[in-house]
Amino acid sequence: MDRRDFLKLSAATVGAATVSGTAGAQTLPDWIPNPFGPMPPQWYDGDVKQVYSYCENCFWKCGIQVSVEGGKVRKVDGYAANPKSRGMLCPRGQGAPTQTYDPDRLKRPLIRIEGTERGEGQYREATWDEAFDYIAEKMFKIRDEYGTEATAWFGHGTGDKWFASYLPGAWGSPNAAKPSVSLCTGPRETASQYTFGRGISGHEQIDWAETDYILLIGHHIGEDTHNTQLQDFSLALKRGAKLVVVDPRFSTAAAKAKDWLPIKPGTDTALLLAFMNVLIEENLYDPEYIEKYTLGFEQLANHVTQYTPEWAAEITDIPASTIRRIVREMGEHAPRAVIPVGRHVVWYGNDTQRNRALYLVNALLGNYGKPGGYYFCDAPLVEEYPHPELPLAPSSGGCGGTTTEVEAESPFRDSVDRGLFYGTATAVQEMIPPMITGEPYPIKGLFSYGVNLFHSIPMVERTKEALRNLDLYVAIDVLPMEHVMWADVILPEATYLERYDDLLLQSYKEPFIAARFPAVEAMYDTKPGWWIAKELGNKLGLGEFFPWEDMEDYLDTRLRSIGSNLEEMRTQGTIVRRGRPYFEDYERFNRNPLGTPSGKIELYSERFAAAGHNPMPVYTPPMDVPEGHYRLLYGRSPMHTFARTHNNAVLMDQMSENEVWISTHEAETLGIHQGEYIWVEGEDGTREGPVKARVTERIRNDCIYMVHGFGHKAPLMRLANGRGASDTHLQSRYTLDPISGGAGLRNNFVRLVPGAPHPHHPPIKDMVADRSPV
Amino acid sequence: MNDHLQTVDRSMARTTRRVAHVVDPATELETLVLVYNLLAATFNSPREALVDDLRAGRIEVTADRLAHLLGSRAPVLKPTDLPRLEATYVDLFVSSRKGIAAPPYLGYAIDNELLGEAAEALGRTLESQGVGISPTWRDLPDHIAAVSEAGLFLLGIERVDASRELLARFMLPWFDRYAHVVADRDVSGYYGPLITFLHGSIREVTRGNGS
Repeated sequence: MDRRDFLKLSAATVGAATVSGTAGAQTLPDWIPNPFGPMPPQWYDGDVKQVYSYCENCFWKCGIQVSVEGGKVRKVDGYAANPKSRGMLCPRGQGAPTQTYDPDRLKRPLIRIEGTERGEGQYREATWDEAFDYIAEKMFKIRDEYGTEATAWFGHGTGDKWFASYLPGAWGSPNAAKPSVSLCTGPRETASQYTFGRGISGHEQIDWAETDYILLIGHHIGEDTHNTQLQDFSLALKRGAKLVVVDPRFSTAAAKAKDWLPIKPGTDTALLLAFMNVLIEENLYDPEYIEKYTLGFEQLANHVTQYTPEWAAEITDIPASTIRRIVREMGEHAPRAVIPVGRHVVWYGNDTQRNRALYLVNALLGNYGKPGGYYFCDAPLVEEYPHPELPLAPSSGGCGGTTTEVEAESPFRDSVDRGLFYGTATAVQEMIPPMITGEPYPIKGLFSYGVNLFHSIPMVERTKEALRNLDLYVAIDVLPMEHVMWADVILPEATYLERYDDLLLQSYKEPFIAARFPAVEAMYDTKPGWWIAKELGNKLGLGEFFPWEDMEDYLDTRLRSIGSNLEEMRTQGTIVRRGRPYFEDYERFNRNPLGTPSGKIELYSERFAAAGHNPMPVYTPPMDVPEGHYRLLYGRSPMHTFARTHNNAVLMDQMSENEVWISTHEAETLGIHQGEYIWVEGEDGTREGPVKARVTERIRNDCIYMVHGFGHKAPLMRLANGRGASDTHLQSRYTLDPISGGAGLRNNFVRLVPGAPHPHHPPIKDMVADRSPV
Repeated sequence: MNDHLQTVDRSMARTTRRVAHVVDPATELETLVLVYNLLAATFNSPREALVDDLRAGRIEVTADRLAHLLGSRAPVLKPTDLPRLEATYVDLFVSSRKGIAAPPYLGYAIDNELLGEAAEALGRTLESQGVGISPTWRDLPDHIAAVSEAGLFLLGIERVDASRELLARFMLPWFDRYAHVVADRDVSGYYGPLITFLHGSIREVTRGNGS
């Protein structure tokens, strides 16, 4: 037996390929890679590498500079030359490295152990090749039995291009969907497309910096912190802009407002109709603007005659005199008075009409396309990497995505939600029932890229039932969220600090292009989304659609179409273009930015009328609150994004649990005390909590409020698990918006049950110091 | 392979004779080799080869021999199969629905940080011995499986002190922190007993090392 035999049990049992070295050497020779890199005792300038990227910890996508030392990300800062950060970052952006170095991350491809149930969480490791083979075999089987359409693709985040658009297009499935549409911005985009002929875009095109009067309706700026939006808002207030907040809750923004109007939930459209009534009745609109840019004013004027402030006061709980006063103030400041559209706008099922009402008020104020109102923005044009035309163009939309395009004639079946609503962008929640019922045809396969199925789609038990019925469920993610551990195959994605991604082509007041460069090598056996898509595409026989060698080739080719290249971007990070924010910027070149069939702002929508929808907004009352219940309202926190950041130690240290806001009056009635832990019970009996009660005068008596994204039920995410309550798990119904397909989520009602045990969670800092296993 | 180990009389391992500290260089070398072999067999992803080694009794023989040299009690490993080993390995060390039991990263066990100062110190230690972790290794460089390979490599070039130091400074803290967790959570009947045994073995061979 030689020494080698003696040293090892068997070459295959031990790693056999993990070590490189040279016998007798005192130092590493050059040819041996040293994974630890140079390790000076402390930082100094020359050691810190700066890498440009853009943030992914929310979807504002701020430009960032990543500081890397010793092969490790040490710090992330806002990039001064990037229009969406201007050198500043929010807590979530600064907390980015903590996610990359989170020990709970997914590390390797995993395949569910044969014979175990979905949700049981029993997995074996697999190589990427093995995982792709497994997926491909199942995909082909589903295709042969049910068609390519029988696989659904959900995506959220920068990489959703590949998984909710490109790959399903190449594969031939129209059932690609994004929660950022029907569970977030879909109604506002649909309303905008049908009113202005263009979308709102992912960042909301409000000219905050130039406005003099801001009225927020259910808009939680400062809580749903988006970096430069908040910077501009703060500057506007500093400059003296007046602020009015309409909200059932005294929000963070309300604390800065001159007026807080605690509206009855679900009655916003009535208020907006009354605004229009006063603007028109009192001639507070700009007739020249109306004449030049709008269509249907007479019909609108006739329509809103009936919607007096007195009528609205009965519905909204806001006095008629207040309504008149506020409208007159807006009229005084017009066109530099604005009602900004919000982000998460799926409330009561009448959401397209509500958003249209909001746009029409803005149009009457004459602020659309004018300084201090809504500005125009277009994404910079960069050519695609040349590739064969995809067999199908899925309508998954996205933040700011189009919702009105009609698909070209297709050899594929329509998406399973076609016909359930008027718009054409798919609705993610409507993809679930066909997984259970097989109607209109079965969905048997599902890819979920970055979509938290149990913290975004309402009716969680229905989603679980759907997952049980699938023949294949693949989850691509960074963290082992609850829904991930239900998958047949788990594909671990590298974090955004470790990967290239596609270019960010940002429509903004100053449109810009930003690139994401990997700051460090991907940890473990994780891979970037683009690589996963390409390799999977190859296995599925779709290699012709992925002709690029790698992402450097892909990005470089795209950048060369605008006279730049990858190396230039590496040193620059962001390329800023000149914008055309106002009407006059277009009119100077005899161009019209409005994309409606009439080329005008359509106050009256012929297209809606032809489709059997109200051509002008009407008020639809929300569902009544059942006795003993409260309307469930929810919102954001500056420290967290969706349900994504709750295992981030830095952010959880800032905010480790949510609270249930309950009015002082109701708390006294129920015997609930400040800081006490309670249960929140949904109408279907689902209990969430224990969650801390926040007894406050800052909310109406008929509703409760909590920050979204807490209440994780994932022991494997040790910091997130079991802290607070999940609003999504309490949503046992949604009200479908018949126009956009949005899922109105605020017709859900809960009871509050005192007496929950104190959970005694250890402080986050202690858990970080000792992340004891559970 | 491993004819030498296979011919060891298993009854020898049942003795309760305690060797306080291994002093004979040849015996010490053998002891360390056995420890590192078992470490590598435990912390590399389970494959058919491991099952073959188990079926052929090679793991048990190795453990028995080590127990004999250290005067300790050899672990009793339950018969198992590859699917169970794979599922347990993932559950304990990779991703688990219940929460990963024991992150297999030596630096993390010391300072709660991935690729932190402890991992850097480990890197420096290996670097000073002319050893690096191959870039083809698909996990962090302070993963126990990789460092076990490094330890074996050091023994192969007769750097006994360095390999012992590796155990004392970096392996032992991990076992002090996580061995009992693995023992509590293991359902395979393999990882729990073996890691408990390795914990005792490492403690024994590093006694007096001043860790």
